[in-house]
Amino acid sequence: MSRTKKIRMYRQGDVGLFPVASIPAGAVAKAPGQVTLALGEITGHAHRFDVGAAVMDYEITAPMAEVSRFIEVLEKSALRHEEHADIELPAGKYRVVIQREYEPEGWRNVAD
Amino acid sequence: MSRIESLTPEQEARMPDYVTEWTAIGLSTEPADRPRAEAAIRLVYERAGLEPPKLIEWCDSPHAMLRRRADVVAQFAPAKERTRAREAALKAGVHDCGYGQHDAEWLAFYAYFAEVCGLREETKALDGLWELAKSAGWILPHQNVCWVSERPTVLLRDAEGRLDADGRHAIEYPDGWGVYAIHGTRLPDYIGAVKRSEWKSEWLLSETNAELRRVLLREIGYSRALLDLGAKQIHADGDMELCEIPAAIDVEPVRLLKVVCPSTGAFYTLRVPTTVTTCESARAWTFREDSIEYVAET
Repeated sequence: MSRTKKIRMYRQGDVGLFPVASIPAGAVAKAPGQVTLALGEITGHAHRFDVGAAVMDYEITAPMAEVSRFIEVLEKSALRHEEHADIELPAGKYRVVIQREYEPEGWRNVAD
Repeated sequence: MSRIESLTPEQEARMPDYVTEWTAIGLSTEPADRPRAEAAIRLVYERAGLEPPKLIEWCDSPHAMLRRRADVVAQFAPAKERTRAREAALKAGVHDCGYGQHDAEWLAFYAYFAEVCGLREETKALDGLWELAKSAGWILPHQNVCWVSERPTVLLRDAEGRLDADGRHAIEYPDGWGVYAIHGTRLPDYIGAVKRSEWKSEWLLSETNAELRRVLLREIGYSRALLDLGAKQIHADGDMELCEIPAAIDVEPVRLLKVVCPSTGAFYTLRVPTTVTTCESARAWTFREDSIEYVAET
């Protein structure tokens, strides 16, 4: 059995950030503003960067795209959350993945 | 008969008013306006080319209205047939009703064309039903008698507008009859009358309806179901544990990854497919990967 190569990830709660070499060509940069990666449905707590942080937010809106969110951190920035310790992200490009949970007919993202 | 091919911008601009007005009519919990409703009922009969009913009788819920009719029907049946006649009248009941305010969704459509586009003649047959919707609940019309129900006194909905209430009726009528619901799914009394925080994991074992079991599981939560129903350990790794609830409470086994949050210290559970067999592969699955090296975690 071949060992699967481990992929590097930063994690804050249910938000995973995978360093990538580049942002896919189809991704569209969102208008500048505070970048929020996930918002708790019930708690209202959010995984977000400070207002004015040097972070660009990209989205792929194609309906079939499995991965739809990327960010580019231009200068080292902290991802913050009300309950979790900050995550310091080095400058670079990242793929954003929200943790999912299994359901027999498919899956859903974790709702916190 | 006039035919409408297109709407003017002014006519289109009136649509939101009809949505607002008729949604309010359909959801009203005001007491019925009885004189107006009784005039409406006579108009409903008249527009259908019928004599008005000799008697209009008020009931405190659609349920009471159907029971009342069943009792009357049974009274006229031969003694031996009474129980069966009563049952049959009850069963046919809902389809024999006019829905008063709960016909709002289609009456609104015709009200718009009648009032905004001038299709008065074409919609004349609905004059009585429009008035009835604005003044009362359901009706059960017969040749000589028309039963009519009060409006509900309680109507509770979730943010998406679906019937929803915790431990009480989501819709309730003056006689106390009502319906339990969670996010639009009807609940049997034994579940609906109990506050969600007090729902019992054992119900997952006895409830035969799979959709209801799913609703129960979602509210009770995997963590509590795990504690209450017991777990079979599949794999352990540090402070992570992969386990399965042995009881058949879902269409396939409920396999759960127990993890501890590094920031809060709280343990929580994530459901994973039964194809993952180790804690690490289960956790990687939740992030759509096979294997992950965690650079930093909080």
